[in-house]
Amino acid sequence: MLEIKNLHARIADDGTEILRGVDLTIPTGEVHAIMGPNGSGKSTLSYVIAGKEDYEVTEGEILLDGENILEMDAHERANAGLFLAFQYPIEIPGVATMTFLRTALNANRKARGQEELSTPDFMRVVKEKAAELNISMDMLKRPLNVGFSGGEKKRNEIMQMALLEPSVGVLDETDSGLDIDALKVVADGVNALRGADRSFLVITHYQRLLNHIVPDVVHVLSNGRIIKTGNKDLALELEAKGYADIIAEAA
Amino acid sequence: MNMELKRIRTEAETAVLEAFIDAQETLPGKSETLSDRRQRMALFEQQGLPHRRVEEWKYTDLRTLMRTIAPLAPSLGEGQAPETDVPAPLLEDAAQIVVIDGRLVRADNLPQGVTLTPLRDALAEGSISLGGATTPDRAIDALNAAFVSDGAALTVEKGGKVETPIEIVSLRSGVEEMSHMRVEVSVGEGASAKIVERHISPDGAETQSSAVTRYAVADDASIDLIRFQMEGNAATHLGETVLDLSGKSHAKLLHIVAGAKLSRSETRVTFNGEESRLDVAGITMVADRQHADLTLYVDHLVPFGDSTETFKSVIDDRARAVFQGKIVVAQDAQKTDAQMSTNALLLSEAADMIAKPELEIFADDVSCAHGATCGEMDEDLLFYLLARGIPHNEARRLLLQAFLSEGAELYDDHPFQSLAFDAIDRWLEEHAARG
Repeated sequence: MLEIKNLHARIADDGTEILRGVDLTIPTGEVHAIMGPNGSGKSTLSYVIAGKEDYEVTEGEILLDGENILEMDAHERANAGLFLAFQYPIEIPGVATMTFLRTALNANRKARGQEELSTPDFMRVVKEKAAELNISMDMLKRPLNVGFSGGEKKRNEIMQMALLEPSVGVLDETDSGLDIDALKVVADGVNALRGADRSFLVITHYQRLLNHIVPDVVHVLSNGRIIKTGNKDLALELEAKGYADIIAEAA
Repeated sequence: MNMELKRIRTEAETAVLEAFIDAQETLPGKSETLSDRRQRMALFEQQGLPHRRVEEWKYTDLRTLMRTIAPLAPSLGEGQAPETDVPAPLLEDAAQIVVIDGRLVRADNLPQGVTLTPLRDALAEGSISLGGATTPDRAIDALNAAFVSDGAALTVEKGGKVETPIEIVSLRSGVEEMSHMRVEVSVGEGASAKIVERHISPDGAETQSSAVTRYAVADDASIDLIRFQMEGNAATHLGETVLDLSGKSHAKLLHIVAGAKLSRSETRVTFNGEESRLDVAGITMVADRQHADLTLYVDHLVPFGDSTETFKSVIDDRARAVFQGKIVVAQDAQKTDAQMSTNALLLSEAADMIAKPELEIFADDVSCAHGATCGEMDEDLLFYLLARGIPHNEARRLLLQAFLSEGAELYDDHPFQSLAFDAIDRWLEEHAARG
């Protein structure tokens, strides 16, 4: 479960306030979507949840399964069960994808007091998860995300989520840069991970993704606050009418 | 009229001159050799140690940095070389040539096709020349030539494909002396060899040393070199690696620089024969108050030469790294392709990197480029790893490893690659994991 209470955050460098009192609760097992126009603070929200140091929280709290994570470093949040699928997954030349996956998985296991996986066990798990997302072994041999297409990068994100088995997954515009086929593969990957013990926050511009990952609740974020909450039909309404009416209505 | 101002000699400079007066008669070599040595010292008497007004030494001002000169290590015939533990070769199957405090102690298991003459003998016979006086920037060669008494002359016979790596380990026993060693390697026509140079000394000992290694690579020959400067944390290291490339030859050289308090490692490459290739790279890892200077000169004198120059540096604490790379393409050297890059990561606010890439091109049909970057670790890369649960020190280690490993790309699938990786891992284990 993810609870965000009266969250205010600004850019650390210049003090620009981006989030102005976000309230949001995602009960375990639910999928919530956040939609909103450009500049509403969607990506900032995802970064603040994940613990990026470029932002400063000035007020409010974020609870992950009841525990305040604002005092935690990014890696501690990840190991506590939070996963951020990046809008733009970073390319890291020189770090083999396999090495990265193994280091991440073992860091998670260690934090949970589990033994590191043996090489054969690790290979088996990765192969299985990779196959589900049409990720070839050849891709895994390459440096992390280097030379990957947009679709490959997003599939790689979802595979990492499948490996790390978080309790809360935050998907930041996972649909951006994907064609219809790639979108479907990614959405299937996410849907396979839905379950009674896992919640999702799906951030997107477009309703299209929500045809594939059907949310339980849809929120509209504007100017750093959630101005409207509804069911999945709210997304359809936004798609038909745009954001202007709802923003005007809230103002 | 040129007005030469009377220069005040530093304590170190006086010590060098006095040491030479005492030692000159005992140094090996015939009268020509002695005259070469005297020429070098005559020049030294005028110029002293190189300093910041000598352009090539602007960032490594030896006059300021070398305040004292340790006594000269005893020459030949002055008793046994000090006992010290010689480490096993880095590559298990390697032959090993051991030089302690500037004296050749032994050469084990030299492979077929390779012959060695102790430098002291070669000098005594007059079969090797130390060369005459040169310009003020050649301070390392001058100091070495004046004082060197031993080392080795190594020949790889014509056509000899020597698979067994040869390790030249030059170590200091820890006695606080100044020692000099010189190795002359001649790689015969069509021959090939793999050579590991290791320059090491114990931590805490203020040893000073110069090491000149000169490689003459004949037509169609090739040489793979990896040079470790892993001196102890109080040492001063002055190194010069010279590569003379004949036609259709191929030389690779990887510098691993992690040791010494003060070091300057020069590389001087001359393309004397057409269609030759050079791949030179450097991995510098420094911390504390280390000063490490890697200086490179590549002279493309003839057409159709290709060279790549790739240098990676990681600098922590208050350390300073210097990279100077100068590629000269002579008017005749058409169709030269030279690609130089230097990238540095600064791990602390007080860390310092000086990069000075230079291209001097006199030919009009060439492809030459250089690029230099210097900065902090990329926070976005770091955050991506953190967001996957990888702790800070581990994330930093992964990124630094990736960054530095690129310096070893010239040895993809080569036994030297894993030597480079081991050195990187060891350094990161000791340093980068702290942050």
